[in-house]
Amino acid sequence: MSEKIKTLLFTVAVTALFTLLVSGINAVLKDRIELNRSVARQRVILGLFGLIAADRPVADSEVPVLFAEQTEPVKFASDAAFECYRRRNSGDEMFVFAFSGQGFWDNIIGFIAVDAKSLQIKGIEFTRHGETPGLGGRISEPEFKARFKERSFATKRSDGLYFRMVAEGSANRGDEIDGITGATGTSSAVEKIVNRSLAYFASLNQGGNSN
Amino acid sequence: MNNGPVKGFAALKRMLWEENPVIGQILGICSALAVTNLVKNTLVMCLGLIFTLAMSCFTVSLMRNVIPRRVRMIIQVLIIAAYVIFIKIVLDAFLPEISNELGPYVGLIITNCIVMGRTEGYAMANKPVDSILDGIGAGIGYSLVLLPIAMIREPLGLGSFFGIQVIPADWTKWNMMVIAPSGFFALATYIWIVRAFKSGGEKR
Repeated sequence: MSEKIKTLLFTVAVTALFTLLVSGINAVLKDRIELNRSVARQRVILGLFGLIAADRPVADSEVPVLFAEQTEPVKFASDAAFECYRRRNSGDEMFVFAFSGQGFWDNIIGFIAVDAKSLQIKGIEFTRHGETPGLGGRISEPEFKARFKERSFATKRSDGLYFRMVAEGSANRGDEIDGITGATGTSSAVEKIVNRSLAYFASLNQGGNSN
Repeated sequence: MNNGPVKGFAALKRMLWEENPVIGQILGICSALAVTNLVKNTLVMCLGLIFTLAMSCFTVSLMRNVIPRRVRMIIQVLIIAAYVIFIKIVLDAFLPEISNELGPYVGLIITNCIVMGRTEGYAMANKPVDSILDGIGAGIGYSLVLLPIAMIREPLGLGSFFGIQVIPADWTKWNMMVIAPSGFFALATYIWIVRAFKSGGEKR
């Protein structure tokens, strides 16, 4: 056998061996990793419902129980894939739904909490984004997320949006939210995604929902 | 730098001080800058690197006589990558929060020059046991630089140590210490002090 073929066979064999080892470990731990991810998601949703707060910590093992007890999925007839939750046995009209859209670099994914009665945003969480750390990445800071709180999406502006992101520090109307200086791309992406998601939720909710 | 083969614990010991990979060879700098703002993350990163180094050096050394010279680098990277992905999966499964905070840096152990430096520079020519010791030594040498830097950056920047508040709340936090530039300052100062010590000892 020539040297070249030996080298090739050796490389293929070693690659197969190590791929097998890594896949094996992955197969063994896959379920646990999946559980961790779903606990992290459920934690975010419970946090938006106000059921988990910094002063009331909940252990990872209790999150799925609390989630099943306190929340229920909401299904809309016109879009069965839309991920939306509300409190179980509660008279309020709070909904938490998932959103996603193209950010400045990578997709921005998260959840919004809304009150469908007063048509107000109750909270927002960005669970995944790839924005520039220190600039666009500031969207995941509590101070930025608080800018959306109690914003109304009852009526649209003349430009068809519920609200606009404006230069940081210059927002002085109910339909203006401070953007992030140095991250205009991220600010306008968030503006687009959140406006679109709210409009979509409003249109779905008008059509009625069921469990 | 190499005068004859170094065996056994001497291989481990020289990595801690004389040939410390960060101070002496200025390797592994990017992760040293990136993860040293929290002691806990730094510790996990260091343990990850020690494990990767020990296992990669051991494996490469075991296979050193059968690896064709032409593809030795590719094989080394493959072995290193396999162990790093192993660490990443284990962290995702058992320490998801730390895994999240470390983000891409665990994966980047693959490209940490220290690992490939040791497999290529030592493990390819030495016995498995010596190679493990050499790898562990290099990992501890790396940790000996990163941990002190993290121990300075976290208290000054966040007022905490290992996540526990140690400095009273009325202390003005040096936000500078948490972000990347202070990593440069802290690392450079540390290397400067250590090198001054070393050259003093050598009596040039």
